[in-house]
Amino acid sequence: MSSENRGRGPASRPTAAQKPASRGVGTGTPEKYQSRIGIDYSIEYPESFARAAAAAGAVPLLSVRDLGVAYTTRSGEPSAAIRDVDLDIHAGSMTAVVGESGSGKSTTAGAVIGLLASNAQVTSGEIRLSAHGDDPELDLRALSPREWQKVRGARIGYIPQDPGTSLNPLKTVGANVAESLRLHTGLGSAQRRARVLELLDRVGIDRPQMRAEQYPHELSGGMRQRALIAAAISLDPQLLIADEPTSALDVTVQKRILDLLDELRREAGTGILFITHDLAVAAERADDLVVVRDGIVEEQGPARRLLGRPESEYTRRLLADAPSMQTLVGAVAAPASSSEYNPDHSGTDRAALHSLDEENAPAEAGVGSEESRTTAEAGAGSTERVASAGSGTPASAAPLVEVRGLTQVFARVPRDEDDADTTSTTAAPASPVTDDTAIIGIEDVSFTVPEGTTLGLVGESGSGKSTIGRALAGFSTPQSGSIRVGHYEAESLSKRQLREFRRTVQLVHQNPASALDPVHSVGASIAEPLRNFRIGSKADRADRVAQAMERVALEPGLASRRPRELSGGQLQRVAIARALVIEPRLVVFDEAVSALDVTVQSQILDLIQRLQEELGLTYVFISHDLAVVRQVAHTVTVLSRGHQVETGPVEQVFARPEDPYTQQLLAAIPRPLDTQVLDLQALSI
Amino acid sequence: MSTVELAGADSRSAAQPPARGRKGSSRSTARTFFTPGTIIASVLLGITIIWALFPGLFTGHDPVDGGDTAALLAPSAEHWFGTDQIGRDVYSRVVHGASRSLLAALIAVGVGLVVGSAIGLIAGSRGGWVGEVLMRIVDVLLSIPALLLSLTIVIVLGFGIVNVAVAVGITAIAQFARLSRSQAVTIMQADYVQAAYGSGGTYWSVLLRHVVPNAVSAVLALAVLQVGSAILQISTLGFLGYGAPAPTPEWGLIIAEGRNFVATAWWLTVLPGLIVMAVVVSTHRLGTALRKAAE
Repeated sequence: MSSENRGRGPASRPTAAQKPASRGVGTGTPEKYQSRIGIDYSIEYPESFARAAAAAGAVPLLSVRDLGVAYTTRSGEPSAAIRDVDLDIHAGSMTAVVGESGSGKSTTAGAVIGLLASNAQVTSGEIRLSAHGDDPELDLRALSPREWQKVRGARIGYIPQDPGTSLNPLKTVGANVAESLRLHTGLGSAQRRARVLELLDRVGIDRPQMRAEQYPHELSGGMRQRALIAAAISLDPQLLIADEPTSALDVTVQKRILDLLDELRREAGTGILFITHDLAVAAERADDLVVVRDGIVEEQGPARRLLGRPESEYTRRLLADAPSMQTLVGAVAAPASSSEYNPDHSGTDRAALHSLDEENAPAEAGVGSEESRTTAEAGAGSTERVASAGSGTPASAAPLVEVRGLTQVFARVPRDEDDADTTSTTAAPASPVTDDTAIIGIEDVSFTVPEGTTLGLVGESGSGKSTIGRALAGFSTPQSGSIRVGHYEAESLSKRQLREFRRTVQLVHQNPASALDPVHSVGASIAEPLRNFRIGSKADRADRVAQAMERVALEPGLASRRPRELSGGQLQRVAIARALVIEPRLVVFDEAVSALDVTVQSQILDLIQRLQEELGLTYVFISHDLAVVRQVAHTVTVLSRGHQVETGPVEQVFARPEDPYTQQLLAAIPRPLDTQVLDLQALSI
Repeated sequence: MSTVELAGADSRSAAQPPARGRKGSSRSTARTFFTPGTIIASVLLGITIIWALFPGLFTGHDPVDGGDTAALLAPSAEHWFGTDQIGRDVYSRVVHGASRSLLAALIAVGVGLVVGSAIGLIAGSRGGWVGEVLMRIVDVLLSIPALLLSLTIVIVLGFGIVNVAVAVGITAIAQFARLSRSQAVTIMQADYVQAAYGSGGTYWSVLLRHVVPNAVSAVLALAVLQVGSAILQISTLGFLGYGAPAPTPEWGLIIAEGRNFVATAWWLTVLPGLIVMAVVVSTHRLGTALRKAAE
């Protein structure tokens, strides 16, 4: 990565691919970077009008043509990470690059901001940043490291993925935000401080004076992400690159952050390059979508066109597989057939059913009409629902799992921190629900799960859902309350009973790659429960392993492989096979599909549902993703900060949430549907 | 002395980062492993091992009896490293000494490896007061200077090459214990350990089936690293006269005997010293490369 033989000036086109070796400090004139933020430019144009204006503006803020990036490997053969990527970002608009892991979306962002890994090179194409105010048009490929310093932060802002690790923990939030001001401007410390407070206020952090003095660990994840956004916009860049800015955040916080980004680009005319794996988020917020797969652009275009009439097979599959998009797909694919909906199909076609629930909610009033938060009635309601669903699941069985008054409080906390985030400038409905102090842990949780059905446990991080899962699976003893699974009282098991109990209950972890021992072959991992319980002879075990693998649609030949040789989806199948090999009655899935790409996630969900139908298993499905829960669960329990706020049949909770917190959660699901349906009609008619 | 300290400090810092599972293909791992440095190191170490196994192939001279050869001859084609004060061929003594030095180093590392990792694995996986007590004992071991500790142990056990090896091994226990404990602590937190308990595993089955196999690569890499410093420590003890008795060809002893003639016959100390150094550096190089490959 030498900078010596670099072409001079933006016009010269160097032949060798190159990238600047380091990011560093640069200086700029203070006047140049004086902010426009704070002056409210926003005029409430109708959205379509604004888009037309942007298109008429013609010159895109950022234009990427035929971009190719290759990673050099040790073998010397450079392997192309992305090829022929074209992108345009207009002022005030958002272009989303959507793809699964390994698709090259982050590489694209890295190439635009000149921060690729040291073994990556831009091999072809051009990246141009348009002129802006006094700043000249730039060819970003031809910049020297020194020139880059004046571009990064000043003209291109970057919002990193994980707010937890992206702020310097040794500096106050204010100092973190002020960093680029310090590097790029000659502002004095008093001016800087004033500017930081202004910025913090701008991104919706309450009491900026106080927050600026706090350290990152004292802020919630959403507030940290706000602080990072404040840092990114501190020099009023013309382009913001947001690399999965909300992936580490809860859905309600995600909504507020996305609202903030929308507001920023509308007011300051900033263009946003939005990198995400979540098609629903991209579809809801972006003007243009670029769908990448294996480093190639599968499809790109205005978001509405792409969602309404996807041309590429891959986009269609992505749309079909994204759980939160299923309402949309249902609406688009089968507007006619929805009228001839038949309740008996619910087992096989939940997507259609849910899409119906969304739109024809009042018509569904027959199911579980007496909703109630008490568990006995919730159990009854779900049984009723199961009975009405008919085909797939056995009707009205005695509850296999009965949890009463489960309490495990790790700490009680005065609750102001997170609420501050709620009462921000964004238009999110405030006032979470819990009445008393917030707790870390769980308090007084009660539910039942009838045999052969699935209970969804939904909540944001810190809501205590995993604590319940661990208690159910016998990994922790609750402080009070009772857990009955079959004939076991899980809260008071002796060591010997606990081992027996494990044959009844199995836990499937979130990340299959870490839940399988890397030194064991997957066959050995699946056989481990059999060895532990001394079931069968050696040959017998091999047979059972092969059977278990076939059951989860894995080729038995893979048994001799190590975990690192398998893909994430295959690994999760292995983990499920291991859980099922000793024939448990209850399986607890702790975020079991959250770490997977959407297409894989949808396959695993199908598998889970098929296994339930074949084996009559009972599931407790823990997830932060309401869309996924809606897809698999029969009943759902919503948790908020350790309290159970709502329990009921899944259709009822999703269609007519009683509790304000549930309503808030549901409202925060990225939902292109609401805006899109009208547009689609307008487009097609 | 200072060299001993350095080697110790180096391997201790090397022990710090626990093996993080990197998913490189085995082919690229092999390619990163075989650098010119590691190839030279392997060749040197290979020669030393063959010396130890078949000393007769490399030298015709008797290592113990010099016969009527002149004393203090300079290096020549006949006597590569010259002859010592009673006319013994120094090269022959070095070759014959290899087996003793290497064997002693292996015993030393073996003692440290077995005892140290047992302590560390149990401390790391058990936690609680058992872990506390074990690790405080290790801290005590660590607080005594290695040379002082090994001298004391040799005095207690009695002189002789095996006792020296055991003494050096005991000084290595602390490092193995600390590394394997840190490995065990991280492994115990892994999801797959929880999954193993979840599928009905007991403490010992989890320890033997999951913790040991996952910790072993990092611990073995440290073991290779320790071979070098063990050779050095054993030679140091031999040099100080705590090792094998006088006529035995042992590296530390050879250097110690040559010390009296440093002014007139420098080769008696310098050439065997260079051999010791080459072997120590080679094992260190290989150990470092192995540790990187293990990560």
